[in-house]
Amino acid sequence: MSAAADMHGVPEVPTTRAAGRWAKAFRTPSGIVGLVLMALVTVLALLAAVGVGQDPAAQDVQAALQGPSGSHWFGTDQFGRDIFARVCAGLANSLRVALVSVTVAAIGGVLLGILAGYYQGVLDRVVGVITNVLFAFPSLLLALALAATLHRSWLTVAIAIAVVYLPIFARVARGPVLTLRHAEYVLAATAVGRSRLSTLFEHVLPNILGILVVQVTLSLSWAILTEAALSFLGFGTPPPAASLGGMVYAAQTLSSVAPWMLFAPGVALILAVVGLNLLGDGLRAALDPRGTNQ
Amino acid sequence: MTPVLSVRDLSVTFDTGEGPVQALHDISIDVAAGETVAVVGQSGSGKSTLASCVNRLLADNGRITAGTITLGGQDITRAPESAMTAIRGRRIGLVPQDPMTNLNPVMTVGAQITEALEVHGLASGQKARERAIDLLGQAGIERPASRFRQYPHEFSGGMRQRVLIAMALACRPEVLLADEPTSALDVTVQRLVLDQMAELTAELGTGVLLITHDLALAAERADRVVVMHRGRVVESGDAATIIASPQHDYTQRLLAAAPAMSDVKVIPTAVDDGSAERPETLLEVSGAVRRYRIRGQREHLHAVDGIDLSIPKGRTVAIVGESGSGKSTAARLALRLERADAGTIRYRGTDLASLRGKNLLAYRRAIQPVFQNPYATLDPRYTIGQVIDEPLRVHRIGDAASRRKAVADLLGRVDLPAAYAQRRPHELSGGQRQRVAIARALALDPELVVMDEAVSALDVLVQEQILELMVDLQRDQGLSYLFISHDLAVVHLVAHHVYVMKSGKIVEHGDPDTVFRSPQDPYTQQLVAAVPRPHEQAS
Repeated sequence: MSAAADMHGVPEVPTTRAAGRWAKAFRTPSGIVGLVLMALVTVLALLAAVGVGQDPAAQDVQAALQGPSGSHWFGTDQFGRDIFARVCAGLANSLRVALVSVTVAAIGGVLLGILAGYYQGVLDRVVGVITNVLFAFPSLLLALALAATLHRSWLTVAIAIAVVYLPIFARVARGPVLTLRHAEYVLAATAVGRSRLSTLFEHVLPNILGILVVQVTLSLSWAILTEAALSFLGFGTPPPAASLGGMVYAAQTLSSVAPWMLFAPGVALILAVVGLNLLGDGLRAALDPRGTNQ
Repeated sequence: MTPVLSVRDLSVTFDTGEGPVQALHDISIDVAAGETVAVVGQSGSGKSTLASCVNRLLADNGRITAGTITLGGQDITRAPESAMTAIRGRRIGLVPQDPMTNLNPVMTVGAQITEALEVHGLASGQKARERAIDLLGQAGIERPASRFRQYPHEFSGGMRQRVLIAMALACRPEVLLADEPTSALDVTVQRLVLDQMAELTAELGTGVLLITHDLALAAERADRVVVMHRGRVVESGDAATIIASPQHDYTQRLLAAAPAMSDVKVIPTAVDDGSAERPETLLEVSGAVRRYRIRGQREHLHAVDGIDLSIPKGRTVAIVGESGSGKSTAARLALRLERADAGTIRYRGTDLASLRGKNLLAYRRAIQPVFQNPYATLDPRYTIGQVIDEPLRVHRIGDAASRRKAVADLLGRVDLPAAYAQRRPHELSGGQRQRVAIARALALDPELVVMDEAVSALDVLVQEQILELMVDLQRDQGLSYLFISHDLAVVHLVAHHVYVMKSGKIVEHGDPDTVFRSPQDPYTQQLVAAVPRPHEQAS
């Protein structure tokens, strides 16, 4: 320790490596529960995606509307399809839509947001107007309109959701850039001779990643819910492909005869959404600098 | 005389992630009615912890492990929270450090003062209003009756601090805690605010516990001074005696490091290479103007309003002025982080406005900044090595191995161990970070370094080290500096030539000895008069 630090009386601070910060996210109770839930959901979805277990589309009229049993863990639906297999396939579909839509929304929105915040001027005004217009629509209504006009497939559903979430990412990214663009280390990088664009990606973007990571996890859970809502309304993933929202819709007319049909997709949805929210909570706690003294 | 506030053998421990840390060791301080006692120390000395103990607002992880705090004969060391609520504001007034964040922006100033009176049941309704207007007037606010209805944003920093003083004294407390009350203010404002505070407390017979890092200020304002270092009282006694003959080694070091206007200079004597009578001019600013548009106003703000200045090679040129004088804008113009709206800035004869691409990059290489805030000047995600390496990488100088060596050399030049290259900014103290910022500025071997309030945020001992480092570099490498500061004493120490700025204009310039000893412009006279002078009071 040098003389300067000595006089300051600044205690030696233990190094927190980046890896340590991530690990910390999974030491908070919500982080752990979120991680476990998401691991479970992901494994189920992957099983369905690689075709392990029963075929989610195989019909067996003899076995229609059976309650949970050894051969059908969660029972069967009105066509005799295995509900467990369909829930797994539905989860796979939800995750696929959520990942694609949030990836598109995050990359597009963050790029627009940081460029607008950093360069200001006309670009900022244009991006501002676009996001404001998109914000003016209720998000489900906007997704509904887009999904209804586009050719129906899981991909168009993902694109519709991406359009709805893109302005949110633009907003979230723009705010902190507005303050960071005046930060002394950003000025110093410019004074050293770095180009403005390279300063943006080398100094500004890395310093807002923490906020964005949290935003991504939360958006994933909203995207899953939006996809389920669209499918429930008949504008989501087209049947016969399994989707959680579609399953809930099919179950609602039969809920007095076959309540298990409602139970399984509902629980799956709740697990996925709660899991992602808790995970986001854990990440937020870990990435908040004020959380370090606890 | 029985003291109104008496702290006896106080010890405080903080529980941290790395185990308990004792912040205060057996502190004893008495404050009598009408007396001002100053607690002086650097950051980390425990002086603010002491203040929060008296108010019983210690952070959650802090514990009073021993000792007592007595307020007017009543032991409040372990008083329950409900009793403290009645004491805070009523019997202990607090003037906080930052006037900008300590007033509620959505309440009128008057409502905030009457609130203090009403909470403690001292007055209400019309009576409280009248009393609050009286207080505002006493605290030196003109036209208090109409100011009463205004919001904090309509007040300047100094005005807000006076409002806070009025608020703190509203209930006629026995003790006033003033925690760095004027550190955020300009010197001329500082003087006015402190004068007003002294007058008011003398009138009310309030005991004042003044917490400050500024020994000169403490000596000028306090009856007695207590010097704290690392949680201990190292020296205490009569203000004049301590200044005249400090006993403890630490106090002596503090006094020696505090730049005073009468001090010997640390700059190398003016012209040592006899041949060059007039050194060549590096940077020549003529008639530079920089305007900003203010939202909602048609008139532009002239941050820099037609200034002329020149920086000769190997010299330190200083700009002094208070906040808002435009001195930082002038620095950014010189760094070409902003462009002048009118006038020219020439570097070795080349107009900066014409620089593009390669030429601009070459200019960036020749002029480097060191900024004010040691906590914001380094990218928190970069290691120290990456920070210092960045300019080399941007200018594609050397390969990985040679740059690693260069980083180690640069760390050595600013007196930091080479192993620090692996660390991240948050692991360093403020002074160390500022050294890193200097190392980064030196990486490209610049001719001119722009120091924008680069030592203002540092404790005096650290400040002294940085100034010495600056001067050493100037002597060894012929470096030139544009030194921007509000601190006249520091400028007097290091500058060859000084410009005094006010409202975007240069009001006076010349050799610092001449300018500060016999200032011609009324503003400069005011600035010079406002500097706290411990020596004069002591003698």
